[in-house]
Amino acid sequence: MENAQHTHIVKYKTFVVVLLLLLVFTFSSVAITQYDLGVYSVTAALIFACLKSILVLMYFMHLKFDKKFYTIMMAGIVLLIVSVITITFLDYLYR
Amino acid sequence: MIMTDHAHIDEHRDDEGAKTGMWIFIFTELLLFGGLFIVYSIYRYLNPMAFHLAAEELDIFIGTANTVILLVSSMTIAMAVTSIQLKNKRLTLILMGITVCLALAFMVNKYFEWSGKISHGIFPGSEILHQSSQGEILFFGLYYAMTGLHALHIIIGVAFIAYVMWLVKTEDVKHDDYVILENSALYWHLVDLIWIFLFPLFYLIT
Amino acid sequence: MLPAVTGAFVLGFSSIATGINFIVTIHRLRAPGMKWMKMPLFPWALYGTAWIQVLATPIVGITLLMVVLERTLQIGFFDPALGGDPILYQHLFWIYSHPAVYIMILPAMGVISEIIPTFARKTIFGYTAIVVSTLAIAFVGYFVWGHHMFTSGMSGVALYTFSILTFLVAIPSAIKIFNWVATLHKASIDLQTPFLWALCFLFVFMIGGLSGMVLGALSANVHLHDTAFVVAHFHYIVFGGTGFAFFGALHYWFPKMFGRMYDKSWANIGLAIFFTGFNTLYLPMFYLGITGMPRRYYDYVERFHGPNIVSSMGAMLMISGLIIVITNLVRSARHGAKAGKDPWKGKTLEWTVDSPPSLENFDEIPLVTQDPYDYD
Repeated sequence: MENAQHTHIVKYKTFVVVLLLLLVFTFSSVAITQYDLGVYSVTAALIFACLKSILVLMYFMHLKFDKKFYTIMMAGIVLLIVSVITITFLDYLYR
Repeated sequence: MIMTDHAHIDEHRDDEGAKTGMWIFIFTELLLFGGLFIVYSIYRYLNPMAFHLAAEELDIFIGTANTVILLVSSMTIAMAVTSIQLKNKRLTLILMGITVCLALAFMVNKYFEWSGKISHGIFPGSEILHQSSQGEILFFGLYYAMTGLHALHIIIGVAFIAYVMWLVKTEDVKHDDYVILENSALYWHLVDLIWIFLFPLFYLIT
Repeated sequence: MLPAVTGAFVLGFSSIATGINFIVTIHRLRAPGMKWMKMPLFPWALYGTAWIQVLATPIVGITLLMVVLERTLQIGFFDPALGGDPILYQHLFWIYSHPAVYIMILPAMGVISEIIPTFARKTIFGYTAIVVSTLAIAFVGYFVWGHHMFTSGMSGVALYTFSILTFLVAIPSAIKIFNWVATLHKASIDLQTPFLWALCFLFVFMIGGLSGMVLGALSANVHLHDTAFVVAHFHYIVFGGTGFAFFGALHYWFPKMFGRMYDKSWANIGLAIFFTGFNTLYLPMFYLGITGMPRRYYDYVERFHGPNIVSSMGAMLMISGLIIVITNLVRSARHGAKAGKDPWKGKTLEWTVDSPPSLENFDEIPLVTQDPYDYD
């Protein structure tokens, strides 16, 4: 039975750097709306959202420094949601 | 080891287990919002132009400001975990306090956004919306539902963090016993994650 | 309608809370030495079930919330007049409700995996295969929900995708049946009541499962959707499957729970009557469905009279059996012969503690060194 906390301490500086990256991605995603990408506007917006999410998950939520199985579970959940959306689309795309 | 002593039962402490449980709870929240994202994606696919037009009614500036607010608040609560590990109680409380203030700022922005829309007659069941295209009705229905549910989670998050601030103040949470602070931070990051997706899908599809 | 929806929403929280609880408990509180692959199959089944509870229930939660918002705030999620699609509601509903039936059946399968080795006095055949198939059922079960919607108006691509996936998800269930039966080969069988319930389970679950395959075939489904055939299928698989396993479990763990043994003669008589009644009640429904009787009807045309009367007689017989079974258990809880720690000579950990167990179950935390069904 483990009582001990994992002792890995993330430096403040790391968090600041991650925030700056997040802000860069945020402003980039706003800037990219200036261009007419048609169907791909969703894709572009979502790519930035995914990059930001990965940063939040890995650093703010500590996944990078935790046991691997948390990351695996998280990846599994993402896969599940994406699969369910994809299969639902099999109905609407081909009606 | 004989377990005849009830006090022994209360001594069972499992920080790793507490964290595991919190993560699983986070998965349930992701699935909860996931259901709304399923609905959003289908209706977006079926009504691309209407969604595009409706999104132009939203104010990108407030949306971006709110995104920045949440990202900064995510950083401050993450830092609060570091500061408690470094035995800096005062800094921990300051960082958590900033997180709460930023959350309240978010809610104030949201209040202005919503009341602005409502005063323009754009709300579920309104006359104006009734006369719009079906895609627009769906867009705003989803907008209010998703940002509303998200706002509810912000309120819950604020309450959770405020409670943990109290525990930090009374030193029930300290440098060698802080899993509840970590868990409240995880919850806050979840709220941030959801907004990271809501923002582009509602404000940036213009 | 709103109170019912709200009630269901609240109920979902209990499902989620249990799921989180069981997952963390199984991860963190196994006895020393009990590695994952030394864990008995009942907790494995509960583990798979817990994941489904955690990951599927939120979807029905949000769906119900959307229904409430639609009714109260006129947000048009599923109302065609407001641009919504009612089929999307069906999708969301079944995305939860199909995994939900695996929540119903997986613990039952876990019980059967416990009972059969004990009364076969032999280790379970294919422990690893049962573990993998448990997780496979939980996993693949997420992707078959459309088989409840074959006649709703989905696209052709969706139709055959769901049909194929439905046939796929049957495979791990079948593997379990093979393993349970294979365990009986050259075994020293002790025909106790829990084992008899397990045997009956194998029979009715097979019928239920195979009828599910009939429904999973697109062309057959067109004729059988919303008929009594579907009613027969799910009663065989849930009442037959989960129900029989539940009664088997009640009898199996009865001496452990109450420290007393039930009356074996009455238990077996009750089972025999119940089993006969059960089949008399539900078997005719397959025929009724194929010949065209719709489900959810309280009245029916002349040509369906015969089998319906047989069904009703079966119901009365089944209930008599049920009354015997339950009365026996209730009386035996108070007046049954005293039972010791291990009346079945089982090998899993629950049989090493008192009957009934002490407050914390294990006064001394055991050290696990052997496989769970080590009967040699």
